[in-house]
Amino acid sequence: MSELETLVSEHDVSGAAQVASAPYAEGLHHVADTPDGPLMELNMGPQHPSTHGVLRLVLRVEGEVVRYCDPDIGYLHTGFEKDFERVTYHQCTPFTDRMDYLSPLGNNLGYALTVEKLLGETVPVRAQRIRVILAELARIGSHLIWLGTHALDLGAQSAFLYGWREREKILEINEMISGVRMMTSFIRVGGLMADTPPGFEDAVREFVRYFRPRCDEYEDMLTSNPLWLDRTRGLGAVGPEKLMELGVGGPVLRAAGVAHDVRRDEPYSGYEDYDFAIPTGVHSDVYDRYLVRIQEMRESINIVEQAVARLEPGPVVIDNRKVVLPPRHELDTSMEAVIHHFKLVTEGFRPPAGELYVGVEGPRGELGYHLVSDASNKPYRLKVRAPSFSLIAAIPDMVVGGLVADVVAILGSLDFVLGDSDR
Amino acid sequence: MADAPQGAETGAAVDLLQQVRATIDDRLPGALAGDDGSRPEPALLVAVDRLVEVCRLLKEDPALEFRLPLHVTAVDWLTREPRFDLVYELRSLKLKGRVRLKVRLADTAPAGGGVYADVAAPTMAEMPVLPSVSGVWPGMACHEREVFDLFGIRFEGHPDMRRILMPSDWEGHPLRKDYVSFGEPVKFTDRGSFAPDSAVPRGAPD
Amino acid sequence: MGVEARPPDLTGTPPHQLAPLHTGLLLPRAPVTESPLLSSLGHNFVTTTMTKVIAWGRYNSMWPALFGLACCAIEMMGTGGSKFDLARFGAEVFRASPRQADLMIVAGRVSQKMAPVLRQIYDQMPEPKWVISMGVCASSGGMFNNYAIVQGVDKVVPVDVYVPGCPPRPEALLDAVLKLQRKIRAQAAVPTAVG
Repeated sequence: MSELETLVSEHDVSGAAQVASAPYAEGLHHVADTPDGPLMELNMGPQHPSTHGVLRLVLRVEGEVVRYCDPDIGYLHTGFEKDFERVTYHQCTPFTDRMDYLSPLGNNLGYALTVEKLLGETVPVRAQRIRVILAELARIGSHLIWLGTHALDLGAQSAFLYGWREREKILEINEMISGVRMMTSFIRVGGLMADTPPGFEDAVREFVRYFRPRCDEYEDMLTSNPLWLDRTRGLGAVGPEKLMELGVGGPVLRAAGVAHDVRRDEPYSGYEDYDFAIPTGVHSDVYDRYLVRIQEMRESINIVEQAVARLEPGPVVIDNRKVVLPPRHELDTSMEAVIHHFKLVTEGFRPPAGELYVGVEGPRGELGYHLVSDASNKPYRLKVRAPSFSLIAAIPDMVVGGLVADVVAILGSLDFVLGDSDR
Repeated sequence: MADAPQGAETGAAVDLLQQVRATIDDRLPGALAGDDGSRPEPALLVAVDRLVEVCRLLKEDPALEFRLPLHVTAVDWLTREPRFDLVYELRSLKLKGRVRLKVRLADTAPAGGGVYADVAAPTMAEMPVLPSVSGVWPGMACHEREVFDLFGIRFEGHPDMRRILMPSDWEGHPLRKDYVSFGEPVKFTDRGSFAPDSAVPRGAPD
Repeated sequence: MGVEARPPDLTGTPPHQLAPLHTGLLLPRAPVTESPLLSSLGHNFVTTTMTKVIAWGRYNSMWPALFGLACCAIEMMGTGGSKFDLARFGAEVFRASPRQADLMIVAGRVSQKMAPVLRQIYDQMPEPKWVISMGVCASSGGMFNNYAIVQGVDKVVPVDVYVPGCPPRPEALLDAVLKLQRKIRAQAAVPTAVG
């Protein structure tokens, strides 16, 4: 066999999975130096084009083969959880936009559901359907960035430009409803910021019609491309048991064959009424994760189509003036509305004391909010369960034993966001 | 139902909790100290010394299979004794549900402060300690590091107990309630400076 | 040569121990158009035209260093995308290595842990170099007034243009790049101190 063939056969899936499933804890203490001397320690990041954010990986390599990997995070630690304790419940909403900044509306949704569950409130049906539309558009937007940056790292620069071209349409929809492209804070506790303007449904339908063939376009470009196959097949394979033990969910777990989706297990916002499939992979490698996410984009656009077809006029906020601002026009005539408005803006509302956890299916896994309330107007403790935190902890199991160039492909396939993991 | 908030007091969530509690009481009697009384979702109170056994049972019992650990976090009830609540959230794909475990931990350090407090931050030996569950789920290791970093609570048996989010030479544990989250004073009016009031510690509910 | 002022070497100092530098406009910087050749020629028609040409070359091909930190990085990538297209203003390639870049767009919030990295990357860039502070987090700490975020990157590096917004629209970032180009052009028109 030629040298290249030997190299390729040494990195087949079963081999990689054996090395990769060595316990992480062992890897930390028993780093074997080679007989020729200590391994070379390389710093990958925090400023690096392929770490998808400010992630630092301390690698110890033997030639091109990674023998040890230690992720170092915290370069984007913002102190969100401390800030949550300082501001009122409504003021927390703009903070949540900025954690997983690739799908801000998804974070808004998780937070709003948590506080609404504590209050014991359910938002009207129209608000739920619009929330589903916006959350799925946010998921598509996040997957487009994943595709663009992942493909760019592996050399397919066109995918980057295509992804952003589609994303501009989603951002135009965001701007239409809220005035802001990215950090809309449109999904709030008690419903939505406001009802959607008249052109919203047409814009969404137009986007559905426009986006469907794009997924096929991406698949044409990459799925059978021999370069793409060579760079992604068999890499980063970790078995589903190990992934679950590491706390990894989302597309990465689905690519390992486990059909787990929080939208199925604990549905929210009416997801149990929509018809969508959960795509799963087989080999749990980078290539399968790519296929799973492309298919997820197709399923998301199906959900959006179903939701927009069911939209009917109605209220978009709950009928509780102690939680939701009164309509603007009432401030001209009703003193009570003025008082409610004043109290809500200055003090906020006081939910009952309690503790709860709500998890939603974000684009990278289960995004959870653990809220502790002491019956005051500010959260006593709001912990965000970030899916990216567990994804980054899973990196060593996937890269040890592979090449340095493979690290780039694996990081792209995990699709973590440092704003989410570092909070 | 389309309109019901997620899992709120539904039969399924209550049944799951009963099933878990029954299994633990049956196999490990005395490990649970009841539920913690929180609403809308109660958690199961676990004795500190039985924590690892309970977790292993929840993971390995063929009827339960809580194999996906979601997170472990802490809540600082500054004016309550014991001071800390350690909260473990676990998910079972088999039962399509979650369970929350809670451990109450007393503070053993002299009043731990932060960079701007009068008292130095607790040393490793002074910190409250409890057993690590990273032997049961390796994925809990990074969450325990975060609790160590932000709360100053140590985990016995953890393979790599060091800070994860703050710089390694940082002093203090920011999410403790007595840690002043210093902000830059910003004058919004001419009547003096605005300083964030996060230093005000708030007590536990009745 | 004029006074060569350099900031004190603070690499290795944990950022939370750095005193605020307030380096915005006060830090003396080596004038962009200074060179021994020009100094030896003195001031005349030839040298002023040369400085304008040199400045024209510099601002029309400012290559940004990749320094996307958080949400602003996504809008920065959008500015480089096909709808807004930063490349038509000369910022053709985002260089991964700071040694090959002359513009650092600090896009996103800078945490205490990241601040020394920011300073090191800035120091690794060769002169002439410029910094755009993109977004409110980079300019002033933004909505995060707490222990974790540096309240403005001008505590760590000198900044040429500040762009407000959370995140700023791509058009705002383009406006900042154009403002910086005008700034460089304006600096070329001013006679430099010689000797």
